[in-house]
Amino acid sequence: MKKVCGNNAKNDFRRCPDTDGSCGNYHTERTSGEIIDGVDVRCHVGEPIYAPFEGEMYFWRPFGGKREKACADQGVRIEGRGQWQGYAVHISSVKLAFFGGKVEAGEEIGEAMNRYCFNDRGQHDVEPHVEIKLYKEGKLIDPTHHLQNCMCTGQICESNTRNILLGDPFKTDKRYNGVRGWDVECQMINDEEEDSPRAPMIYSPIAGETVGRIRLFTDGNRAYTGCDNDGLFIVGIDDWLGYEARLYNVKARADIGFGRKRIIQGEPIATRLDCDNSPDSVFVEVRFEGRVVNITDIITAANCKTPDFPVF
Amino acid sequence: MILFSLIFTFICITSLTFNLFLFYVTYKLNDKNYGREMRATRMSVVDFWKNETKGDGLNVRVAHGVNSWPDLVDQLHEPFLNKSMMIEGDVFMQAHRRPRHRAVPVMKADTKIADRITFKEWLREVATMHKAIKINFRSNEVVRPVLQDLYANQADPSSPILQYPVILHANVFRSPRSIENEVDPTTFVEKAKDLFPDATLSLGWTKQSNFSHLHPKFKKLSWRQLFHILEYISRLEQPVMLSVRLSVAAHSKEQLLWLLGMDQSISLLLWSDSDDHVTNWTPIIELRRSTTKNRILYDLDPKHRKILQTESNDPLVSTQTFSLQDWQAVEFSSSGSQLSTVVRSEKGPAFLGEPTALLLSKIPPPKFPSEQKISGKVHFLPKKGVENLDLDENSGVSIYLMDKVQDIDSPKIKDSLEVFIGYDGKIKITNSESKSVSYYETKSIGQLPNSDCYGFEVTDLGWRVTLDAWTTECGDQKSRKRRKVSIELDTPFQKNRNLRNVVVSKKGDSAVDFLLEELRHSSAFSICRTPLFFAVVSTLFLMIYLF
Repeated sequence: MKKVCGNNAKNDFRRCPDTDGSCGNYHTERTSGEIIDGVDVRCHVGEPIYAPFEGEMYFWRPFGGKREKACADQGVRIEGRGQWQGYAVHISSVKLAFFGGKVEAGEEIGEAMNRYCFNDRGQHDVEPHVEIKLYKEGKLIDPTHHLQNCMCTGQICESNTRNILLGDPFKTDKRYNGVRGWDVECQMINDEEEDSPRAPMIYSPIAGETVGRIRLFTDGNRAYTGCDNDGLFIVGIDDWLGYEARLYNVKARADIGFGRKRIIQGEPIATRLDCDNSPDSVFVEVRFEGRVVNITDIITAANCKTPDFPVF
Repeated sequence: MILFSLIFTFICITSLTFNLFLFYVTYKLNDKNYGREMRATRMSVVDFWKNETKGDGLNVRVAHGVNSWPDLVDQLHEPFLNKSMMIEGDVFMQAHRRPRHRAVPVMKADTKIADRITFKEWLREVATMHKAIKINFRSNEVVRPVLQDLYANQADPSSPILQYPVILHANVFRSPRSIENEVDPTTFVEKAKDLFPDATLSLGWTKQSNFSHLHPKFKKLSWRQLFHILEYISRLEQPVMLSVRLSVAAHSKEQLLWLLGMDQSISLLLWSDSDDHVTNWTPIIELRRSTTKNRILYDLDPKHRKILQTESNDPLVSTQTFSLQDWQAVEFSSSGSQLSTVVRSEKGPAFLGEPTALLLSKIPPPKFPSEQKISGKVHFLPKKGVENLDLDENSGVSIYLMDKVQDIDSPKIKDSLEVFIGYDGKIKITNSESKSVSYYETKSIGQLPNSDCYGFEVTDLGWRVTLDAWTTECGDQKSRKRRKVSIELDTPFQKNRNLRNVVVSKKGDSAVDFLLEELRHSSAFSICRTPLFFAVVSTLFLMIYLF
């Protein structure tokens, strides 16, 4: 998810424990004693609020229209589209600039309001914040790792927005020398203008500093030949330090080349192979410190939490 | 020449036998790997006791209210010929008078409190009787403890409870003039799904008083009630049974036939007592004859059973109004918690909730100059309590005609040709395909009088789309007068002269659901207009001329 509040680029939560002992994390006790399944993102009154993901926006009353809470009773509900189909987010309290329609991720939608203006003491002692609740198919889930330090790989193939996998996750595949990983569906793209379908673009799953080429086999003369004898690996950096992602059935973009290149996560770095027998998928293998690891949740975006691998 | 044909037939026969052998081998292998699906607890009572019932649900005998020691002993000493196949027990929470004692689940019997048998003891006894077990949950509090007991029993794969069909029943729907409290359906279904996913889940209505005095409009299952039931059961993977009263079933034949035709298999239990007075047996007989014999179980009063036994049980084949295999459902997740999907049945698909599901036709569109027709009948069912709300005006059924269907990754279809029939009678054809030539119109609108059901026929000629729509009576009733409106729109070909793919979807407000009582996609292949036809005809003439 993109940043929600103006100056809070990392979507930091308010300090925990706060001055009155309450905490703004998921499923923790608030000032009133209630345990809320939402998070409080630090935000001062008047700061611009941005849409965390693309979708349709609706005006929503966080306090259900209660008279005595009218000053804080404005919020927004965004129902996700595209990758976020099935998700909905509630943000309160927000004074909206416009009251409906389609929004893109990161688009400004309004400004923050004081959630506690109806209390006699006016501004509470706690840090000013907006409350965010995330629903998946109507049930509340933890938005912490979607907002902060999101380790999800994002879209990998241009024609597959949700990283739909073929077969089981983390399976072995003998087409690629028996490696273990994920077979991400990747169909050819039929553009309107062109007559024949074109190969889809592949986006980098991780932020990287080095790009290299993988070959799967040699022929009789011990040379690397063959259209389908190609792959790519990326050595990770920043959040992905220690990781290496390998992509099979792809061909690097000619204009980027190999070597020490700064790759941003989500940058188009390759195209899917379009040889005679190329499968309609891209195979992803991920290693951490040299060992193959299972990060299925991160690839399917079920849980974007930083995985906890034992360090040797 | 003869030798060649002999060799050919020999090869054919050997390959055929080899294929049969392979098929047999794989079938046997799969048999061993059946696993979950063949667990005894999931089996239908009728199938489990196949020898006695001969596959017919009418021959099932149930022993009701086996709730006390004397009842259990009676079960052991039953006359052999009239043995019951299923033992039914009612369980509820017993709060002890002394607050020190915890409440235990106990079988409901009319004996003194101290003589009552606890659920654990009852289960142990019943498991040894080699019969199907039906557990009737009588209150909300007893659901969790009893299911936890059953869960603990499943830990051992050789435990006796896993060898026989198990049915978990609760009266979760409140019936008119109810004299007992219903069990909360959500908790019951969720807990049973978590703790005993291999048992049959049976849902029913609460006990009533003076059923015969009820107004007939309460003696039927409306479509709205049926969709409400679907909210709970359509996401389950275990067998489901619905317990319906005989008189109610007699007035709800269409709804029950739809339920039985669903692609998720649901069985029915029809029960009756002395309060049920059935005057017209035709709907019940039609129900019985329209499905396979083991889908409906009968737990009837002896006089009703006698009447049914004399009636014939030959299968009845009805005209097909919707073919399940011709349509593929594509579902997207919805951000709300209500059921938003398309539920398919042999009697027609039902679109519920938010518009997040699509029905794609598997019949490939024919090539120009052939034409294709999509015809059907839609029955709009607004949700309860919706009359005072402002509904989205554009709520209804949409039929999209699209060139490409592979990359649909969102339920909102843009830039395509859309034929729309609204719940208030508004009909329109809109063409928002990109690069539409500017001097062609992009919209055509009409209005029908307000009705619950509309019939429609869409004709796609490729370069023009026509919609004929008329008001009609819902269900089997014959319509008296047809008010028909036709609209058409010119839709020039973009690149190639191919007819478009057909996608049916819901549009607009989640408060207006609908059922397509009929839906057919036919591609009329007009052979006369193809170049192939001319080629064939000319070669025929040539051949006649030459010989």
